[in-house]
Amino acid sequence: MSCDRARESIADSIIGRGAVADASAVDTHLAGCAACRAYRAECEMMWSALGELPIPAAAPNATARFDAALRTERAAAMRLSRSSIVMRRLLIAAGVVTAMAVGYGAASWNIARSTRGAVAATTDTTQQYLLLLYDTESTGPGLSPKDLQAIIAEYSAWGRGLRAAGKLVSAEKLKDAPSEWFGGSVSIAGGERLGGFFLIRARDAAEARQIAEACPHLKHGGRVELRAIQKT
Amino acid sequence: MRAVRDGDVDRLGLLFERYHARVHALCYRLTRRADAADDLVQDTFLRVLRYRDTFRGDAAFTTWLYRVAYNVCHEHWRQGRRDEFPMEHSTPEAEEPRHAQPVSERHALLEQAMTRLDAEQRAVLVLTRYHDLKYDEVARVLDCTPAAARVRAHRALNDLREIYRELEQRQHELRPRARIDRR
Repeated sequence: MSCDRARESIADSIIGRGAVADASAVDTHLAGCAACRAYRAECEMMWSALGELPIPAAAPNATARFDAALRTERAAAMRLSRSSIVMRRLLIAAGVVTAMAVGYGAASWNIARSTRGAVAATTDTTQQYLLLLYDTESTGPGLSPKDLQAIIAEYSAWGRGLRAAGKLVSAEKLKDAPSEWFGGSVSIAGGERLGGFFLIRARDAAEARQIAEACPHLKHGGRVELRAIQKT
Repeated sequence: MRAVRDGDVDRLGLLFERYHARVHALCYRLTRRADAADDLVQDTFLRVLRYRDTFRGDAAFTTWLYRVAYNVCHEHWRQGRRDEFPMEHSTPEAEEPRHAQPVSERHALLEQAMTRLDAEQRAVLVLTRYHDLKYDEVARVLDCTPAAARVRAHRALNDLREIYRELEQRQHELRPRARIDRR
């Protein structure tokens, strides 16, 4: 065995803290090689001394400092997530405006139809429901033309479908101006606010639910509240 | 760590509690500055949070954690703070107050010898000596093959021995002269 090979094995046995495969060959070599015996002794001494080198303790406030950093990091992540939500809601808002416009057209069409058949309109006993659409009042960066086009097309198709099926009574978008409350404000989770409504007609509550569940507002993260109109 | 990766971020505090002393020891041994090590530990665990998705769980968590810590230290050094990740010899007298003081002349020489190793050699010795990593685990930390890790470990040990002998020799030469100067 050469000195180089013997020293590799010696290093392995020290660093790996275990027996090496050619231990007996190494022993034979060491028995006749004073230089390698000295090498082994020096390496073992250094390895042992390395373990005795002191290491200062971590700062006593390390945990408190990390907790604070973690809170900051999570708050930043939350803000990022929040801005994503705002962006999504903005897309929705754009779509809602279009859908409301479709609804307005439907209402006008219904009025014209009512004028032609006033008796039929006044005797319409179909149950009506209100779909209340909630979104955010936040404002943010502009929409990409592609996103806007896709959202508008989706809402428009939904509004046209309701109108064609004779389910749409009217629809309006509320202004973005701040609400005025009387008798105390109502708190809505997540900073959401009522953005508009659809007044629909449906055979029963099940059909109204079906219409509500198909509203694109849900797909894009908005909320829809369904309320039956109490006939008086 | 799997819980943290899967979204239970609150448990990162537990991981910090459990492992930050080990990471501090690693960062200290690589930089030889306790204050810098304190900052690097914080950076390491924040990086664990940011890159938690990259933890695959096919190796020990500590190996992955040491890899993150090593990269943080290396980046810290690359940003120009060479004085905190010394490639050249630095004397214990010039060190910061929170540096651990060697308890003997032999330890002082060894500390000096360690600072003369290059960063990767020092890392190999630190990981094997203080953190009990095997060659294949060192390879994961340093992003090399186990064979390369083994070769680097051998060279690191040989170089450390050579530097130590040189420092020891120089110290022996200086002693008689110091005695003569005092006369």
